Amino acid sequence: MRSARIFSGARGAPTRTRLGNAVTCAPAYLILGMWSVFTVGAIAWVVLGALKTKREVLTSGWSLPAIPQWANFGRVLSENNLGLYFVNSAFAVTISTFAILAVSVPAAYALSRADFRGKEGLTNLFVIGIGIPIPLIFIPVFMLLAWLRLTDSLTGLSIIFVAVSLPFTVYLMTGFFASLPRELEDAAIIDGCSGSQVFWHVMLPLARPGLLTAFIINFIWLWNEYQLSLTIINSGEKRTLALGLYALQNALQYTSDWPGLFAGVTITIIPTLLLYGVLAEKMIAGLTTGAVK
Amino acid sequence: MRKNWNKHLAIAASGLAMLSIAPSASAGEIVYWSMWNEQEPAAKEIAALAKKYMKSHPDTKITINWNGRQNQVKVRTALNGGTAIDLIDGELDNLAGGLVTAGQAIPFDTLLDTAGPDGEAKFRDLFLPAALDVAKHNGKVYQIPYDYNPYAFYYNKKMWTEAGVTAAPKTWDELLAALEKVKAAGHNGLAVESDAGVYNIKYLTYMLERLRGPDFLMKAVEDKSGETWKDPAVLEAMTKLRVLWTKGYIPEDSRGFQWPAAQQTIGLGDTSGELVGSWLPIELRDTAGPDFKWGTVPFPTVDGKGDTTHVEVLLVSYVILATSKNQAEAQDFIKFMLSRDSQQEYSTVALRPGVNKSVEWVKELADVRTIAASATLLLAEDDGVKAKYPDFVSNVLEPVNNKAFLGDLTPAQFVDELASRTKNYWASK
Amino acid sequence: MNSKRLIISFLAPATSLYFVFFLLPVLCTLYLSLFDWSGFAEAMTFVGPKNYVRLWTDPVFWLSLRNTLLILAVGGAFVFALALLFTALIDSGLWGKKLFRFLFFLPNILAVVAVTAMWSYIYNPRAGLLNSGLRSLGFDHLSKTLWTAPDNIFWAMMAAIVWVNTGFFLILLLAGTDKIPKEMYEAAALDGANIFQKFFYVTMPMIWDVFVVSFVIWIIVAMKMFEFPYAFGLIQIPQQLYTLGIYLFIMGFGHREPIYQLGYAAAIGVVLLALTFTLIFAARRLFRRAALEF
Repeated sequence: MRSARIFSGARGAPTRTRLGNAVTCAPAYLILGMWSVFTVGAIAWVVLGALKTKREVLTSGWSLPAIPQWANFGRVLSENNLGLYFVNSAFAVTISTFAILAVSVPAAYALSRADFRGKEGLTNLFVIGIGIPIPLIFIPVFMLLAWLRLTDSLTGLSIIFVAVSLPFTVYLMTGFFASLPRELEDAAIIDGCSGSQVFWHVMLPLARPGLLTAFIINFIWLWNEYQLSLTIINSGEKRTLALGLYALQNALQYTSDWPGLFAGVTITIIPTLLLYGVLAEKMIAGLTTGAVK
Repeated sequence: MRKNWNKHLAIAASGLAMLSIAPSASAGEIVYWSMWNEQEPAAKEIAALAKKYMKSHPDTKITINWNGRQNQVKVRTALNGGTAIDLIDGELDNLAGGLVTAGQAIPFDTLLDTAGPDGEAKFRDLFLPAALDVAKHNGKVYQIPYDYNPYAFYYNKKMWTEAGVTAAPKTWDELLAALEKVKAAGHNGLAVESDAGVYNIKYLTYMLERLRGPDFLMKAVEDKSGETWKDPAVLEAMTKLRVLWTKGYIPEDSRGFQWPAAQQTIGLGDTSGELVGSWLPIELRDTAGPDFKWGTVPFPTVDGKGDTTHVEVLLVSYVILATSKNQAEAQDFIKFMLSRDSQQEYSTVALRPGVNKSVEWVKELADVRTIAASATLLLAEDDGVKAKYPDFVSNVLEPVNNKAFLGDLTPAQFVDELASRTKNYWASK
Repeated sequence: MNSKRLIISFLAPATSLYFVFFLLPVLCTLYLSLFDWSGFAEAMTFVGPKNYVRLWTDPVFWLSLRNTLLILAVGGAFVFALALLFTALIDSGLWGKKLFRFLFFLPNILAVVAVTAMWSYIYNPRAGLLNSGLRSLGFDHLSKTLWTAPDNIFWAMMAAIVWVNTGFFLILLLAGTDKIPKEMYEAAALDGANIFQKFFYVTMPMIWDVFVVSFVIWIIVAMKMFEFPYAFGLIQIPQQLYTLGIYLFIMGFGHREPIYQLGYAAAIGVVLLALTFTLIFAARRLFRRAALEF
């Protein structure tokens, strides 16, 4: 079958011989290299800044600190409940991201494959949601959660996280499902699978790259989200990491503690970096492993 | 709800256990939402003082939410959801334009007439001069200030002395002469951040206050035809301010400084001073080092006009919500926070300028303490316009002033722009 | 997928959550745009379309709109030009594809305030990286440029925005190129195609659907642009950097001034929403092509 052959083949352009690389790709490497240097330089500037004194930090650029101020990290960690905030974030964001997928993927599948009246309208209704500015719904959302007695709770926050991430994820997955060929489903149905079996056993595995993309995008944006959290969470001990970092940044601006601010930023990069490092490869692996024969 | 529960529990416990619980004046809980961030020195000190209070008042529990500068917005959202909040603090003008105008705050006049926390005849007597007047709204006092930040020229005393400035300038011309000496000594005179419209507006508001008195700005803003801006004083003000740039006392590349780049140059010894609030010496503490000597002069008189005891201030103050069920407890706590010991600790440990007149400020703020003690009139930010017409300040006054101050508009264009924008502002209401 | 019960069970959770916790609040806000309300427990005053009329004559609104559209168009042009260029380069069979992919995404992981602090340092007129670098390279006149002066600051911010976002859209496009079978490139190579010919005739058509999705995402990012100008302004956002998102926030939530005009902010939000939707719709129409099937 044509589809099987294509899915099992290698992806992307073939890697050329090393000699060919060096000679013909030099300008490409130059451009890409410059951009990479700049990018890595940004992270380096922040991490170096975390080790400098207040006097050095905004004026000494990329030079190494005179004496590395490891105490900055210590101060940020001890003065803030970053450990607790991390746990709160891990809890709320992970559960929310899984919930978003659990709820959006079936809906996206239905919107891309099923045929019913009002399908276009419902899809568009979801798409509109992407453009809505979040600050506008602060007060009504709070009042709604207050009525449900879910304010100042990570549960309430998670529900809202899911609700506001739905439009984009549904849009993404609908587009993704639409790009998958129908033949596999038709074949499965001919083989006697029911609708839900087709979904679970045929389409879902195929959708893995899309699922991973949606997971990563949602996880990262929710991990860094602080505006909704600021509105819904009041108590210090329920703060998410992003909210804790936001409060930390504000405090440090008023005390001019830029090194502390950069230390806080460095600490929070680490989980996102790890997540992206790990999952990105899985995503690519998922693409190249291929699907059913 | 909680207050009743506590009361019942207390009665039951004392009845059953026959323990003698010391009778408390007022038992209850105070929910306090603060504009400070938890890691700021002020927040740490307030938390410590609250703990002290709870020790001496075992039946009162104080819960503090450190919300950061968006405090009033969070309070607004929470009130819509029915959250119980008793005590709030914030910048005086922000609260004035928010909770106070909305009628959500209780008046403090009765409280202020009761005895003070350290035995003063009246509570209102312990405040620095004129501090309570600026907290008035429709004749009543709705806010109790506890943190006092005057806007003035903060400068490097050593740099000025070495440049040959022998006496603190009292008039505009003396100030220009002092800056000339600083320039001749090879330093930059004044630091200006090009994007800090909220600092740069102080040049204009002070200049107009000196030339035409404290009510002029409000009058100009409220004139729906915009014609008051055509008063020659406005043109004169901007023309005089531009001299600072044309004579080089403000270096031309300040146009490209983003906060906090300009104030950093003071700490690093390039620039001598800035027109800013009293937080600057504290913000620059680590950059400037322990040997840095700060001097402060009030905005001078201009051509013999104006009174240097008129000081524009940023106050941080308390407000008690009208919906609070624990007003008595909260008021008692406020009194405690304003007492001499609390305020002295606040000033010394948190490095904040307290508003209790028997309290010393840290050595960097010694000069400005003298200014505060001899003030005869305190000006709310932008002479009260900020609290009353905040969108005018944000959309019109600050941006247009910034353009002209930085040299993108001539003084004549500045006047015309203000006049026409004011007219449009009122027309669209 | 025809069983009605199945369709409903697939759609119900998402739709109900969305309607109750998102659409309902949004409808409240739309309703709110017809009132004057500070958000404090004062009464809401009905003013009908007055907020929208006021928007029409508000120079700051038009400035914000202009800025937002400039970010969308000019920023978008640069972001996609760079992202497509890098896609072509990375996908030409270079070594280090995984490394580049990882590195280019990094700016998106950094907290916005750190990124803006770095750019602030780069643009500092005296000691900043850009001007010191130019000076040491001998471009003395250029090294005196005030990158963050009022007339330049918007474009300075735009450059930073492009830098931050290029990596993200590059990743999206690269995810699309991964679907392209190797055989196609080999066939093109046999026909004598170079890097750019391969890109235009093989890569672009195959990733067209991914490109359209990416562009729609960019429209949303650009229209909502709030966090970056907010952090770039730090102490106070200068009016030159106002976007619709920022202006909405300032009018409804105050920043340095106690501006609490929720009705007006809601009206700005409604306009923003309508504009975003129109642009997305137009983009999807414009870029519509038959999805390539195997």
